[in-house]
Amino acid sequence: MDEIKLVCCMKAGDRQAFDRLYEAYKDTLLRMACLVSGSMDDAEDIVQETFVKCYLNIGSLREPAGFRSWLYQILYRTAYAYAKKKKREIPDEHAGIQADDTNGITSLDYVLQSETQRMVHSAVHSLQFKQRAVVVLFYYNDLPVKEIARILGITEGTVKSRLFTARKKLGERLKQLAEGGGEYEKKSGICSL
Amino acid sequence: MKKSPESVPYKDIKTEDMEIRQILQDSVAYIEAPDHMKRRIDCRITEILEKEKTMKKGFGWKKVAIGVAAACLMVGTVCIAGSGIRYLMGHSSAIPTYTDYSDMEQAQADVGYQVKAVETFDNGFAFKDITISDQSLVNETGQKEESQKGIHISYENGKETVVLYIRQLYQQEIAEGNPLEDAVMDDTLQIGEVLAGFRQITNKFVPPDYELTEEDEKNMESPNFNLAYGTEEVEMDTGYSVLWVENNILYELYGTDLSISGSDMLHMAEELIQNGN
Repeated sequence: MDEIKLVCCMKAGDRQAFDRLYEAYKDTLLRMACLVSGSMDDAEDIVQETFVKCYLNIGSLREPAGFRSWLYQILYRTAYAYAKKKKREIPDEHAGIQADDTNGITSLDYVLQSETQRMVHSAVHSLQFKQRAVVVLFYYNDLPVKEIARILGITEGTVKSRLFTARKKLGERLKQLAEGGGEYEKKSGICSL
Repeated sequence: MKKSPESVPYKDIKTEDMEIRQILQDSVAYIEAPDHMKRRIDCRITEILEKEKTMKKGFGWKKVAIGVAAACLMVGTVCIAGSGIRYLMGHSSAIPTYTDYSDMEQAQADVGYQVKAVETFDNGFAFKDITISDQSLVNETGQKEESQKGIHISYENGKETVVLYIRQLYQQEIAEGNPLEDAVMDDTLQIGEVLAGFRQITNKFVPPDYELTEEDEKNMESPNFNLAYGTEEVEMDTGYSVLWVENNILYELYGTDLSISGSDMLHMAEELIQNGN
């Protein structure tokens, strides 16, 4: 059964349709939430809440074909509210302080496979939430600017602007991390696999 | 001069984009949703639906009545011991089925069972219209287990509206005994062999991305506070409801933001039980 039919069934109260949509999106959403939150534990909470809201509010989705964007929108709104609630959103100029506070380690570090991956994650997480959201949707989800704008409720110009700023910051941050990579490894106590 | 974002063509950094994309995608490719996540989601959904149970059974019809015609809405949950949660689904037209009290006979013929009703109450509430709804008891997999028709009779006093909602108990409810025996009530009135209970609940309807306040979390500990997701903006109202069961028929007299007291509503129930036909 295709996604649109599943969404229609779910709107009609079919719990099995929800289960199948969950199976189709669970890994993608968890990975997105990991990238946005930088923490496996937080990501699980965010995805859990996203699917709960999805189930309870499916009636408000007018167009079944827009399910994916709608679901991603819930995820980002939930992640944003979560970041605010946990007060984890800090200005990027203080990103280094955050790393010090956690010894540079999040639970996500343990599943990252290489130093390069950890560096990219660290760089992505040093971005402000709004830039991070655009980066994940553009790079990880490979979505066009138009759909990102729809999901985040902003204009295409704003998406491009945030992407431009994010790229610049990512480049600077990656450069810093590459120069101090050995120190990061030593400090965190993690060896590349 | 500050460069605008558009001044940097995407093709100029395409290679870098591809690298970042590949690294990001590879970096989380190993992550898979654990089995316990779905169990937590299912538990949370059940918990929220349970929480809404009190409100939905008592005051959910307001949302149904103002909904789109034939829209399918969940109007409550029923716990059947040993066999899990059941959901009450209902839908109806937003347009009343009958507008004349003399059509009560026809309404009863439509639903297939006899009910008690009055044309006017002593406190001035008078018949307005009748709406017939289709209702089902749905299990956790979305399958309908039992279906029936319900009656909703609206009464007005010129300023406010109360609705008398009537349905048969489902066979699974009958097997469990009177579903109101364990319900939390603010006040009760024994009318012959029938026990009627009154309850008042503050309903707060919030958008899907609403963030709970400390006050919400504190309020949610009270059985008289209900938080329900689904509106575009935060809305609040106070629901008043009197429930009773007579001859395996469930009656509920309810309204929102009423000026009459719980005692007044219990006496309206008394009139229905003693004088209804």
